[in-house]
Amino acid sequence: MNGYTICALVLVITLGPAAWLAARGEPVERLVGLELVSAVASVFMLVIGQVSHQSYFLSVPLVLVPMSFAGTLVFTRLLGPRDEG
Amino acid sequence: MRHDIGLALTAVGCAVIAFGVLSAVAVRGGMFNRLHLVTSVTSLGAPLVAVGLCVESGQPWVMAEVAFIALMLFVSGPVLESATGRVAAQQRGIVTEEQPE
Repeated sequence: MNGYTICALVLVITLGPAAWLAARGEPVERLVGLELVSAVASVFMLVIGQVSHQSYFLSVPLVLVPMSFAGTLVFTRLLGPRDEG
Repeated sequence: MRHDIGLALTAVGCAVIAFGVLSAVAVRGGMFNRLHLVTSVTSLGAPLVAVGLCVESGQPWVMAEVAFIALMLFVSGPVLESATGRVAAQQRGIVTEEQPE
């Protein structure tokens, strides 16, 4: 087990509290957890690419980051106040 | 030497991320305090990990891809936190204006 594997393990363990944050509280508070989960998962995939020495693993965060950005923006739009008219 | 520097930067970045997430879970005082801790993950932890992986890799294509991903996280993180904070402020009546179209 090298240092990068330990870093990946730390990030996987960190995903747990972030997911817990995304599963409790008001919807806007859960959105904060969702942002944390997507950021930590992206970094985890970067490190996994180094651990496995497979550069094609980098395609996952390359797609995940813009998709989670757009998805979270949609959630903020849906959670915002609605037009009455 | 290059391996040690890369590993050290990655480890520090992972420690920052772990500290940010655990602090976000443990912090008191509502979600506005929590939003500050999300910023530490996207603006400090992820770039540190990316620099560490770039130093370790040394391959131009991999370095460019990792740097681009970290740049996207670096830019999109504060935008998302700003949008989330604005929605939370609207729901609590702190801000009354609608979101920009």
